[in-house]
Parts: sequence; structure tokens; C-alpha cells
Amino acid sequence: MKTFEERFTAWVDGQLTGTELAVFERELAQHPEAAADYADAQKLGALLRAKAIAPQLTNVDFFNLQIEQRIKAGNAHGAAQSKREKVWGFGFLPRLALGGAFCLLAAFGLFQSIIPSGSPVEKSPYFAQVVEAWPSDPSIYATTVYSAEDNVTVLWLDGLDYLPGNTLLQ
Amino acid sequence: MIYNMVRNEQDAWDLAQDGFVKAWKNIGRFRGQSSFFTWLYRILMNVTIDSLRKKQIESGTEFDDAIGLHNIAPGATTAPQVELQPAAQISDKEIRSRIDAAIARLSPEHRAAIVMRELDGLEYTEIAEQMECSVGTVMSRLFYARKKLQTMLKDVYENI
Repeated sequence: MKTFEERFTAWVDGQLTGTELAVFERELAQHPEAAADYADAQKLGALLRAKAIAPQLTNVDFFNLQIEQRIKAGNAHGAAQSKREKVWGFGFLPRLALGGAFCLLAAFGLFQSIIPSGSPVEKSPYFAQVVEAWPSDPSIYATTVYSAEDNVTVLWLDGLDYLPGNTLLQ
Repeated sequence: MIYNMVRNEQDAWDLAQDGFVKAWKNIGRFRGQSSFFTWLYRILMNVTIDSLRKKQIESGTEFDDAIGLHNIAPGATTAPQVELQPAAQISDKEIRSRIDAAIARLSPEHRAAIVMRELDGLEYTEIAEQMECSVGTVMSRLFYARKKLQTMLKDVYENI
């Protein structure tokens, strides 16, 4: 259901037709001032159309040039901003994380290839016994070399001129 | 349209430029669901209304919508606020000045409605599409905008 204002506006603008117009005209009998209002609205419209005329643009080229310059300036600014966003924008952190993960993998692979896998040099099962036989003379320097293949441990003693009689190697 | 809304030539050209640049930047969003004219017209209208609202906030002025809505009864006869002047005394310049002053007292929404209907000749449905409101709202805005302008300009249109 349209309000009185809506129907009055439609009436002024000639938009009421048929039954709607007939019903509204009957309703207007209760509004004797409506005819004067209608006339006022028509005069107002005529006044606005006749006198509220926008001035013509005198220098079209200058106006167009200004728009062109603003668009160019906006494009340059947009390109710079886009470049900044490309480096530091939304995709930067995921790319950084991916790069970091790749570096870690590469470093791990390199580490694995350089450092041979497997357990470190096996210690001789006789090492403890050799240590027990360690001389108290500080001028003697002992080294052991163990070959797992041959199952042999070699004890190399530097600075030992003789083997004491009470020392037993098992 | 913009000039009729802001009633200032320099402001109108500036806003027209703003609107065209905005349209250029958003040209990718034009889907062809309405005509290009309608799309561009809406951008220019929104730019203008935003500017009027911004000025309203900055200047602290209030459009007299509330006064109009409460003080103008739907069936009320409009009455001139000033003494009628002989036609000969009102020059075109004065008439335009009076029109400018009267339109300046309307809210952006009422200005838009009256400009689109009376000066640009748009249909109610077109105005509703531009202002993103119902046809009923457009008609209501037109009613009150006309009432207020009639109150302020009666002596002018009665004497030309």
C-alpha cells in the first residue's frame, strides 16, 4: 500500500493511471489544498528546468588533459605499490618459509653426503686392557689402531724403549 | 548533474574528474548488467553525495530534513517565507542564486532525487537503481524535496 506522499508524487509526475488515478482523485476531495500543491509542484519543476542550468565546459581539452594526467599519475603510483606488494605482500611469508625449508633440506643432504653414514670408528674391545697397561711415564705416548676386518688391535707406543717385564698384554 | 547537486562550478568539475578517475580504476568491475551510462552515472552520483556528506560533517551544518519531515504535513499548502517581489526585480542571476541557496538546504539524498527527476528526467525505477533504494523511497524523497523547495522558492516561480 503506497503512502499519500508516494501517490501524490506519482500524481504530480503523471505516473498514476487507471483505477489508481480514479481512487486517488476521489481521495483528493478530502484535500482541497492538493490542487494548489499540484500547481506549485509543476511551477517548481518548470523553474528548475528553465533556470537551474549547469554551465557549459569552456575548455574541454584542459579537462580531459587533467583526467589523463591523474590517471597516469595513479597508474605510476599503482605500479610502484604493486611492486612493493610483490616483494613484501601477502605471498612473501609463504615464499620465505618455503625457501627456508628448501635450504634446510639442502644443508641436510650436503651434511649427509660429506659425513659418511654408519657408526663411528669402532673401539677396540681391547682398548680397556691397553689403558690398564698405560705406563706411568709421561714421556711415553700410546696410540691404538683397530681393524675390524682383521679383528686386530695395534698398540703403538712412542717413547717406549723397552717393555717392562711385569707388563702383560692380553 | 554534479553541478546541479553542488551548485558550484569548480567543485563540480573537480568531482567530475574524481568520478571519471574512479570509473577508470574500476572499469574491470563493470559487468554489463546495466548500461555503461547507468554505471558511470551511479559512480558520479556516489562521488557527489559522498562529497556533500563530507562537507556537511566538516562544516558541522545540518540539512533540514528532520525539520521538513516533521513540519510539512503531506497535504499542507506551501507558503512563501519571504515577501513576493515584482518579476522585474528578480534577475536571472538572482533566481539562480535563490535556487542555489534552496538546493543547498536539502540533504544529499533529497538533492539527488530532485535533480535526477526534474533536471535529468530519470524515471523512478532509474533513480531507485542509482540510489540503491526502493521506488517508494524515491517518491517519498521527491515529495519532501519538492515541498521544501516550494516553501523556499514560491515567490520566485510565482513572479517569473
